[in-house]
Amino acid sequence: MSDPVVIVGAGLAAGAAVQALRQEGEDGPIVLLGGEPHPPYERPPLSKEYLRGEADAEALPLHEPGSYDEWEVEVRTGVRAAGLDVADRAIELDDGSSLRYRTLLLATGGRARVIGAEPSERVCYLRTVEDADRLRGHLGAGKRLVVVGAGFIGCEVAASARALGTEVTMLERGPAPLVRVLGEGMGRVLAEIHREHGVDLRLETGMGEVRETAAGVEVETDGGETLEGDAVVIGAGIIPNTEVAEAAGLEIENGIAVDARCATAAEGVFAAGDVASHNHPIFGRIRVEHFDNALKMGAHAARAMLGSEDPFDDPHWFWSDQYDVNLQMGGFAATWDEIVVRGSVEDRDFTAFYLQDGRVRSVLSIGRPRDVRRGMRVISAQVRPDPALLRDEDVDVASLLPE
Amino acid sequence: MEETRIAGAADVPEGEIRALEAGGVEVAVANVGGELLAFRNECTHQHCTLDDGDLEDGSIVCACHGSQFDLRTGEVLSPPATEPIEVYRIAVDGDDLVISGG
Repeated sequence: MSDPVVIVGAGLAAGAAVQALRQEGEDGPIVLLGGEPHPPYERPPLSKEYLRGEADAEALPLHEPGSYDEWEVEVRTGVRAAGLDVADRAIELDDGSSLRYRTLLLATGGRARVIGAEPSERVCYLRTVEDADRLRGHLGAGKRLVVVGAGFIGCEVAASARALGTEVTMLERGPAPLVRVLGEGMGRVLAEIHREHGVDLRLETGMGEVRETAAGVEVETDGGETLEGDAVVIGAGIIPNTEVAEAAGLEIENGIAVDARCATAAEGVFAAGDVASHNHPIFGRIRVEHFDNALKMGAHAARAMLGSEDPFDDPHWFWSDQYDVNLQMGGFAATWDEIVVRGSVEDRDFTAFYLQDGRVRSVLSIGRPRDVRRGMRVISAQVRPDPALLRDEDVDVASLLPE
Repeated sequence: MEETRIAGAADVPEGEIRALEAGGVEVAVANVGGELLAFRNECTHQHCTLDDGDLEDGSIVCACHGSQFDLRTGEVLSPPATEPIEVYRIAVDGDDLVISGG
């Protein structure tokens, strides 16, 4: 029997890859290796519905129970790769065993970046379902939560905590939430939303020392203030799990470097999802940590493993739900020259187009998801639309596409 | 649902979706390449209405979170939804729609 297709990691990219491999005709053995004790599950609810207790653990798995048996995929959880030999096409596992692969997908994801304080019962980070379970115990009326970092995790946790009646103080070093992604102006909209919902948001405020006390935590700010809480949650991003790839000599560039089709330079070795630093045909080298990307890139990598030469050119898309706000963004822009807005930012019913060199590179919307989906087609087409048309509510975004 | 007639509702333009009520159920009717398809107008993920979504090759993509459903079978083509949507039988009778099943 031939060596199996091996997928290291059992997150969303891995789960999507397995499904795509079978759908696209892979009929040899497939082994899925996951460090967490679960088959692939959806992480977005961990800061939202699951954290609030509105969805239970049964709602989390990516695939129905029994899917992997049906697909004849060997799922091994609680085991991590410890070494990789790309010349010998072999993986060493942390249980001391090893296995050979025909093709390999590295979908090892990332882990929460630990800053300032080690994780504990009251010092929370959020990446896994167990992290969410621990955090949930600190939420509710009469409890106080300190949130460090107003990125997606911080903002969504703050919103969920408020929904459960928790008192929330959120620290953010930057001038507004989500500045890196949205820019300061749009970030300020988020700041207003959180303050309206009762979050004590401290901008341009960093975290100092974190101390655990008998009854909770004390978080010092870099301004010298001490904030008390039942717990602190620190949202400082993730660190991609690149160690095994790096030790194997694969190129690392803020993640495992892959070409446009998700292949590494090593024969038969691919990477996808949060860990992959992808050479995107439009955006250049980027690493994206969103749900939709994990699914699409995982499936794309699977097709590449089966021989497809197509580049992965999805324009990228994500959403964030905070309170009653559904925010969506398509595309990718690390920098921009101009933001053109249609609709009313004040009424939170708008679409913002981020332009560089006249091309739309990303589209943000609150309340107008259709503009985002159509805007993504404009991004992919790389046209230079007239900003006046982007601004004009009566112009269908799709009409800006080339004939 | 019980067979339900909706008078004057058969003129859904191609590529568009119309929200209707049939027998106490919120239903969406999409015109996919001239064929009318009826389905429950509620995403199984977070209960968003589906008529705001985009039609793609006989499927609907929910506007809120991108879940994708096959409009003929209701099955999930792309998460985050994991449960299928209900789809209905639909017939055109003159200008009326007749919806049933599910």
